[in-house]
Amino acid sequence: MAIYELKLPELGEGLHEGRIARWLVKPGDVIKEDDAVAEVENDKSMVELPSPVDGKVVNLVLEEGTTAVVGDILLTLEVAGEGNVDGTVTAGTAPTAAPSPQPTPASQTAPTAPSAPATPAAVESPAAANADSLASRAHEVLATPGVRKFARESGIDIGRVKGTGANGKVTKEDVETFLQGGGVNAVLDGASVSPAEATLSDAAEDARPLAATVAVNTADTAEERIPLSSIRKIIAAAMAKSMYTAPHVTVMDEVDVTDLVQLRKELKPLAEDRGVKITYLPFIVKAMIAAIRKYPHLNASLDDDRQELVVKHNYHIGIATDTERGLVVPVVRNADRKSMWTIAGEIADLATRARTNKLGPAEMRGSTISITNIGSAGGMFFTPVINYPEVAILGVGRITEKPVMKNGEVVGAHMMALSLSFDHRIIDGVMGQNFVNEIKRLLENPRLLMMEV
Amino acid sequence: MEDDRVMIDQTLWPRDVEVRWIDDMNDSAHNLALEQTLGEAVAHGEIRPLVRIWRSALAQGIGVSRRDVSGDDGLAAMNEMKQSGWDVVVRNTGGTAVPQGPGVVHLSYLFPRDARKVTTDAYYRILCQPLIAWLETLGLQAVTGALPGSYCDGTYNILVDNKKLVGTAQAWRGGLAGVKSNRPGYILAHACMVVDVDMVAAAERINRFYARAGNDYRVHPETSTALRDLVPDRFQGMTPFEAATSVANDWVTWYSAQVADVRR
Repeated sequence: MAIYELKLPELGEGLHEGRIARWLVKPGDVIKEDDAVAEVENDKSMVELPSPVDGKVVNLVLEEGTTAVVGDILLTLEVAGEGNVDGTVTAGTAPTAAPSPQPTPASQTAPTAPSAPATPAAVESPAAANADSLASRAHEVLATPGVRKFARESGIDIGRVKGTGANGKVTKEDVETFLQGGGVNAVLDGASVSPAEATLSDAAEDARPLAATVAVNTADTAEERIPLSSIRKIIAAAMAKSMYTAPHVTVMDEVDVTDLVQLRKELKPLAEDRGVKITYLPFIVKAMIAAIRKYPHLNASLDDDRQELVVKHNYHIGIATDTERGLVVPVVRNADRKSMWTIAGEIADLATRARTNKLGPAEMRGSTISITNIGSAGGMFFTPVINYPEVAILGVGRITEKPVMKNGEVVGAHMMALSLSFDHRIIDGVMGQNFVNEIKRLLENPRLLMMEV
Repeated sequence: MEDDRVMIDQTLWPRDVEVRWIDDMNDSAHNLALEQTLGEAVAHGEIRPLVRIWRSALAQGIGVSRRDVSGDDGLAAMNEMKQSGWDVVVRNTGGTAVPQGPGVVHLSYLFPRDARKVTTDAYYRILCQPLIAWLETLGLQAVTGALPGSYCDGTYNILVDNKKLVGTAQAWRGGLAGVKSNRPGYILAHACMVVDVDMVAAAERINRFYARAGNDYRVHPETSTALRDLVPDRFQGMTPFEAATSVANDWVTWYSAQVADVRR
């Protein structure tokens, strides 16, 4: 028998605490997965909290009427198989912060940076430097013993697999998807995080006492401490890495898209017939591909170790997508070989699934250059952060109708704001601007764009 | 690129959702209890997921949350108000007191609880978006946002001209919906719109309740508005009850069209 600690999950509305309005179970009750255990109330909502596991209630940690912060342990359960707490830890007590003890000097092959295990044997071996920390993290994950075994035998740290089952339970399919995806299933705007880094940050997180992940408001301070979600931590790390690594330069320009606006208007009924919602993005993707053909170094990455520029001959376009969980960057692969209709459909589909958390890991990997769109939120010029290790990202701002001078006359025009950030180690300012000029030329004259399709 | 969010959020709508106008105008407690009865029926799969449109019962009063009356003082305040002839109903969602009576119309989504990991925000959004779009058909620009001092304040108030027109709340009950669950659950996302209520008098009632309950919480009438004040022509010659009824009528048409979109 093992102990499972049920913690207060995030309920929503940006609120990070909830009041235990009523317990629906008492110590000694045997409950099934999905049985409601408590009514939790925040300012506006009442949520009955279902148990993610079968078990017997050991202890109600908080009294009715108490306000708990997200992450607080609400109750402990005795469960069959593995719990989410080390068996030696008393129920309701947060494990202490001590990282796993170092192995004996004789076996200390990797005393620092725990890295992802190279082979299943490395996980099983008690001498492996990071085996303990991986195992302790695995306790936090909801999965059946069979799935855990399958993950172990596949050489996968189950803590890194995103569960799609009930309450985030990791299923065998999830492990398989993870295997097929090559091991990373959260790639975010800014940069992808390498498996080694992910392990590092996860391990560091494990080493912290549970109580440190949250903080309580006190009556006399006008501030709030909000624990970062794991996706936000990854975004933060990726953004910081990009900004610290690649010296960013951003060029900003306006493009007259009056004709494009007209064209899109004409295409809209056609698009509806095809069941596609036509936005400006497919046009921008095509214009960008044409510009890459002229300036291929924009579609590249820098191999720092070997001091080589890796120019990509695939055109995989990352589309930064805002979701409730944070930014993700699904990828339109081989966009050069697809029609605008296909690209439009694909972008809509990827965005929908990104927002419902249904993207496979492979769909968020391997972009060669990215586009981020702030125009839909009304933004204009900005300084996008490069999706490192790519070397450029195109930021699309809103389209504004305004007066411009044409042939000595003031006329109305639809102007789109573009901001291109590039890695100045690789791309010089003039090349960056030339790249933008090429995109402008095509967006200004959609008939030219048709030649590129 | 412009409005794909509307499309995205449709994924939370059950495909077989239907729109029904169900209310009990003579019994405010039953009118409210119907939320739970219908919700449980949805959870058990006995009826289809529901957009329930309903009007407040005819009795004038306030609706409070269970938390409001969980203490002795709250209970005493409720009883005192009832004795002075005001109707007090206790709802199952969170929040603070709201106006009740003729002139208030409600919208409740009663959807089966499923395994998706979403927070209440997602449901608040699909609750507010169509309402905001409906207000637009009346020429009103509405937004969601918090408004300190308004009754039952929250992030997902619907505001017009920075005054509160619609309050929202949620209750998630039970476990997962369906026959396998021990206690099939449902999600209630609720919005109430003040169509025609004297908000100065209503705020005074709410404040009286909290004062009696020994609670410092107060609402400020100037933070609220009523639909009738925003589009007076729309309700010319109607009593508050008739005004609420006409909105309910409109909503049946409006939401039936929304639901048809979901099914498509």
